[in-house]
Amino acid sequence: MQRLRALMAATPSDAPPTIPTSMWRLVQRILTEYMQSQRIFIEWGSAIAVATILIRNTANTHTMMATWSLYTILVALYTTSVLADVAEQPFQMQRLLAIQSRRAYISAYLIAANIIVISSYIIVVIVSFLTAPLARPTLELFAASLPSILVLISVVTTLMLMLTPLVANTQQRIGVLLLITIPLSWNIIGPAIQRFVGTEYTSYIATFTTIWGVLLWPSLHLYTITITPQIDRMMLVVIVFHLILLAVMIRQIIHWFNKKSLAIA
Amino acid sequence: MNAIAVTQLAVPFSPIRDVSLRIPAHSCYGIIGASGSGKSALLNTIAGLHGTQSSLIRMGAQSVHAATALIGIMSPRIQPPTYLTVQQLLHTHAALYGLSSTTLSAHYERAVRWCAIEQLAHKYIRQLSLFDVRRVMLACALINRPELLLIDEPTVGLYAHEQHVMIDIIENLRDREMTIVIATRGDVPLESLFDTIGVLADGRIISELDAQQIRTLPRTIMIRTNDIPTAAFENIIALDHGIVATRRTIVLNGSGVQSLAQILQILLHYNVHIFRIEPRNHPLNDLVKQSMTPQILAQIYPPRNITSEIGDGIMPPTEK
Repeated sequence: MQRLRALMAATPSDAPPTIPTSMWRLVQRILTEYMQSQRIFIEWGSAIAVATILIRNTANTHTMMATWSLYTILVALYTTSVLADVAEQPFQMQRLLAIQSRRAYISAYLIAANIIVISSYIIVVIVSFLTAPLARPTLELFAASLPSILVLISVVTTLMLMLTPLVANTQQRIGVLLLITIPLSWNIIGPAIQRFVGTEYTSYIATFTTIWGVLLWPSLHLYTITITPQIDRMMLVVIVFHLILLAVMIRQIIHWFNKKSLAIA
Repeated sequence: MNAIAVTQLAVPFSPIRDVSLRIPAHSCYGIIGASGSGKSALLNTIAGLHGTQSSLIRMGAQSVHAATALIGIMSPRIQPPTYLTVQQLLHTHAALYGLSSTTLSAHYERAVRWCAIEQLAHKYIRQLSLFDVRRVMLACALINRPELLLIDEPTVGLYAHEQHVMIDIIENLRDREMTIVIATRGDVPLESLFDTIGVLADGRIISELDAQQIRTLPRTIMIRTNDIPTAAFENIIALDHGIVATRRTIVLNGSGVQSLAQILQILLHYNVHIFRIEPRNHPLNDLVKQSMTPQILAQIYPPRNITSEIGDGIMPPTEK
């Protein structure tokens, strides 16, 4: 009762504002400021440019969808790097104090990056439909590619965030880059190593080649199914694999970000 | 009751090695130290911005990590987005604390009043001077009515008259029931603000001064006048051995400072025009100098002598 009286007696200006804000309020702020700063016109402008210049005269539906996917990957890389740069500015540290949760802070930037990339994807699709008379994917085809493109966007933005100085230190970023580049360039590195070490290690090299092949298959296939989507078990496996990969990456980002020094300097 | 308790804090990649301090609630604590002594790193850690180390700092009964919404921080390094007006900036920042619209307006009104920026409300940040931006960022730090306000170098880069206004604003905040921690190099006379001063050097707080000790810090005052008549000159230097004078300058050292009122009386009696009365040294700066090793001190402050600057100070002037 005394506590209630004390609360009622408190004037609005004296009320302690200790309610931690929701992550969504920060997402809203990030998006509003992204538009106010006019950075959004780079994504939206490039979407219109890609649709009107590269796609307009395309006669092949799959070429059109491949361009959409490629454009989306590039925009995801760009937008995430810009937002990571914004998130690291000293002014944003005041906001970090306000929302009182590092997990909410980094998640808000990740969500904002995804929203911006998805909005660019929507624009490139709409403008393509309006300006390209020759090729026009059916609604079924477009709907079938939608889950894979959404997963692709999430994976690319999360991976890019993982590679920014906002989240990881130099050693961690080099580690992630090695995890990506070694499998991708194994067809060059593998034979070179084998030549160096001799034929006695052939079985080990072959093992690594198999491991990288298994790991790379779903990642390379995700891009393929955004272009030629077929709703089947394989698509489900690829998407589930990437959702698990996404969860692992997000968990790692939060873990690194929680330990990171964000001193204003 | 302590607002902040820090025990044996060491921060990697900073000079902070072993800092322990207790800051009482609703007091004003000054952290002074030379450039690179770790003042900003300490403030950042108290604000919870150092991931692991900040969890070692207690704010009341809880870790600062759990109470960052009760902390406001202002630093000259913080630059707000230039495409917002002051009102937009403060409103959007206040909204992050989850305030209702009524409470938000009350908080906004109070922050702009405390920082004297009412007339800037509708200006864009890009239109503001450095001093205005500094006050806006202070308002941003105050928008949530923080229990702990951390201010890093509040007067750095400001003109003298702006420094005085900034000191007045912070002085006014002292009466608002919040704990204030200010980090400074001691090159501006902020000592009147502090209840306690901690001197940071060698990665730790090497000494603490309470309010009484701060008041008795040695000061030197310089009075610049037009020509002082011989009779007035003799009366003045007879007052105290801590007074050094030339034809147009009087320097009050040590106990000589106590004679300021008498000197002014003499000067007025002899109809001497007083151009300026100014502190010749900053006590905080002297404290910082004392905390430095001789080698670093010689690099930053080349040796100078006040009496040599004003020539043969004890010789009486000749009448024209």
